[in-house]
Amino acid sequence: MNVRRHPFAAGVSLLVLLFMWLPLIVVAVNSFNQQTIMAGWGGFTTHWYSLALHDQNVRTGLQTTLYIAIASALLSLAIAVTGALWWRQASPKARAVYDGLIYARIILPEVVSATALFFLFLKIHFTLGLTAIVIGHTVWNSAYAAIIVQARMAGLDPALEEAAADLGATPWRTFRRVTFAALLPAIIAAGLLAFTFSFDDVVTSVFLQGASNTPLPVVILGMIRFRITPEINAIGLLVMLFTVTLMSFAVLAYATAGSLGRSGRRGNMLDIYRGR
Amino acid sequence: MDRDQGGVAIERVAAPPPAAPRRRVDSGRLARVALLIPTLLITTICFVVPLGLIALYSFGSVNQVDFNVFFGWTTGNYRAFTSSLYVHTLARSLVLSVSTTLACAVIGFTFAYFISRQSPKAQRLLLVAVIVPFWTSFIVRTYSWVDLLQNLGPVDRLARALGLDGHIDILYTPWSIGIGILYSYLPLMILPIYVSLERIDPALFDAAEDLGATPWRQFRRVVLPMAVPGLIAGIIIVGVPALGEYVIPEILGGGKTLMAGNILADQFLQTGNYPFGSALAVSIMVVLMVLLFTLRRAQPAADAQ
Amino acid sequence: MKTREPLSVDPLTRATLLRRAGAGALGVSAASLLAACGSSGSSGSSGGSTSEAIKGQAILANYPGWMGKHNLADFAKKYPGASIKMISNATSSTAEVVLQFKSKQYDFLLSDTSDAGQASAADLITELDWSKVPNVKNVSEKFRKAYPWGLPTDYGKVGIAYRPDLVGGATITSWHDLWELIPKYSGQTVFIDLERDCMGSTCKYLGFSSNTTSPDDLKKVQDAIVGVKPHLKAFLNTDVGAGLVNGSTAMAMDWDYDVALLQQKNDKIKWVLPDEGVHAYLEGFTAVKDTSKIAVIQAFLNFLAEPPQYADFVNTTGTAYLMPPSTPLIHKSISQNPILVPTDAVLAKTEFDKYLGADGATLWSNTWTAIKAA
Repeated sequence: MNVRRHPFAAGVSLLVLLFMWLPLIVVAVNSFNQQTIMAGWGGFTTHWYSLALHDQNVRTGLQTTLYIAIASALLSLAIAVTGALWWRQASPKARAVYDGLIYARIILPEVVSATALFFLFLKIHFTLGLTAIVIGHTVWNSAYAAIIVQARMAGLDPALEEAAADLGATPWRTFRRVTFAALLPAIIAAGLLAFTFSFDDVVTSVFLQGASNTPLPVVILGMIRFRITPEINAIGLLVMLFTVTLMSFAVLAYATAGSLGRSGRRGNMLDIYRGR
Repeated sequence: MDRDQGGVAIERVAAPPPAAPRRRVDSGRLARVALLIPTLLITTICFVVPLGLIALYSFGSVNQVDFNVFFGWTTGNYRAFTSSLYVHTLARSLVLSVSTTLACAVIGFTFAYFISRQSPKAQRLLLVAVIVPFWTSFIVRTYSWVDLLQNLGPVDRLARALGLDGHIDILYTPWSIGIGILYSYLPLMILPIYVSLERIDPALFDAAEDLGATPWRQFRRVVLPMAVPGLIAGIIIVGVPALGEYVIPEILGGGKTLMAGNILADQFLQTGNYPFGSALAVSIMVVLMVLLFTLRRAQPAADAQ
Repeated sequence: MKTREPLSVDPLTRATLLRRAGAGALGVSAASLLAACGSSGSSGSSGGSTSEAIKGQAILANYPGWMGKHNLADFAKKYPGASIKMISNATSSTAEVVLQFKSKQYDFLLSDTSDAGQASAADLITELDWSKVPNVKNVSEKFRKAYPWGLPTDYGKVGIAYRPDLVGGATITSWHDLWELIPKYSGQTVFIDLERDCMGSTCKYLGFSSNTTSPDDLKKVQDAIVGVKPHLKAFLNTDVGAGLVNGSTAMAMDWDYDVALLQQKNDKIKWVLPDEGVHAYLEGFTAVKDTSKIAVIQAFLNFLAEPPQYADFVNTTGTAYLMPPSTPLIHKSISQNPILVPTDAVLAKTEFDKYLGADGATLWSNTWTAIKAA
């Protein structure tokens, strides 16, 4: 790790990491707490974990939430990337409208957007449920994704793609080898963000849930009606471990596919010249 | 028509345009429109239409029993929130949100900068390290802050061990709300800034150094300009939702600090006064949109393409 | 959801549990996805069916775990072809509850007196045919009268919980005593962060009905709360009295069953049913308008009101209960707890929340906003 060159930044970063993980440590510790009231340590137990793992609500909730988060992330990425590609060759006026719609989706408070979609779906007799939730999430997830992808796109040199085209690459090949590769960090970041947002969302999920299975955050919300129990913490930790495992599998699968490592720097052009 | 030396008419035609661009334009146009379809679908049907509904509601009135909204044309909903009660709350929200966003920007920028100077592998590791805590539930995380910040909690005991008299008294004050918001939004600030900074070629730094630039000058001339799009994106992504936050003030603020988000959420969740809530939402949106477009106008980098 | 010591945890080994969890949680099975996607509101068939056939699946919106461990399974066994699907979507937000009634996605809902009252006024409920629910006679008269729209299941009174050792040995017997002590022990009192509970208790303190809609009364309520607000530790809607256990809270406005549980953790905590009286919430299951599954719902509610079934419900949720015939089957920690037993003397001082009407509700929420904004 490159620390010596930037000691101040390194120091702050260490503090940031501690700050981010501190609550997690509390969650982990409390999940083994025999004391049901969050008022001190009452002894070690794994009882809450067995309760959580046993709980059908929790299992179904996790399944449901995963489906929603993955679906919404993928949809949002598709929307963000296609939109960003269009944006590059769009007229300034069209761009302004497009950007305005992105900002608007982010500015609109979620509770308003969720209620509006609820009323709309009721009016057009669209069944509430998982599809409705995914749509609801994608409305704002796609905006966040678009912002991140565009921040990256703004610095892409079109000369790279023109060069590829001149060398005889088809538009699809150009996209795959040059554009997509260059955008990859942004795509990963945006996908992670969208997934994280959906994974944790309560407001939109509550409104658009209908009679479908309950997403996990809503299950947890219902469980804390009277008190926070260590079981909640056990659920939180289990969910985190599970998602990390899932992500690791995804990353490993992607890495074995061979494309991991491209960073869109100038070096890529050499690859194209070399005909790879 | 020109004539060559032999008297044959030569049509002077324009040189054919280079093959590649022509190929791009023809199939390009169709492709460009096709590229826009996903965005159009999601924005028109699922956003503009509901937004229109909200705007209509803001001029309507509601039956407080069955919460049916009537379309009417009244500005009563807009006039209602000029009362001092709401103005006071909005001002307090603004101060809290703005200061938290600024703190978030400074800290987030530093972290993003640090990540961007690492090897690709380390970068990914650090990014993941900052996001993984978010894969627990928001509710669980926020309540763990209650545990952390309460008097007789770990932070309090540490402070007292270090010599503090009395208790830290942070929980259930605006400070704990600030910490909660900072915590919840830091990754959102870090990601876009990182994405902007990551594409700075390290060679640029070496070049600048070779030319005798001090670290600060390098930073100012190389790093900062590149970071601006990401920074602005981050401030928007963090600042705007921070204004509308209502869960964190409830949990970490002990319900004692009413914020704009609480008032807004209340209309939709508790009282069912959709017209008033819609008027609030529309007003907030208009103000923020104007702000954002002014920001964009003042920032030339984003349009350079 | 109350956390009581588990009554019947299957004696599985940890390995088996993890294996089961792994199989269930990892990998999103297509079948379950399709089922999840496909299951929408069941009230699709036209016309409220009053046929005698008790068949079909009724969808219930409820809090997670707010049901006896065996209620649903036993019901399905007794009435083959009928079942209840429980969705965890219950909320204490009035607007959300009314919207749930409106959305027709559910067949019946858990709702309290205020929300059910409003839904009834908005013509969004189906009145039960009580001849099909004869077991409702097991419910005490007072609760039946207060919740006529469906089957009442549980209630909670709001009283005072405090640690005498942390308030200089003082004794609290009334809301008056509490209001006097709050400024003396600044920063150590917790109020409930719910409009009806907080303002309702203050109404009792001031001698009003907790269902008053008089603007003068409410102004006095506002002043009373805002007056002590600077000395309050917090308004909380969960873990309200938890601080009493380790002493970070000295006094709290809290629900009866919450205090009953806290006393198990620290017996220095005292419960007070204040002299001026208390208000209570009362909730139950109410059927949505035009549901096609009314036969199933009525059968289920009748089933739930059988003493053993209701006892299962109470023992699992740990709530204060309202069907005396179930008492022998309910755990002694609940049925013999003086805090929870609904004696006539206690009920005489308890006032249940009512729906306040459109204007009343607006007045209350405006007052509440003013209190929170102060």
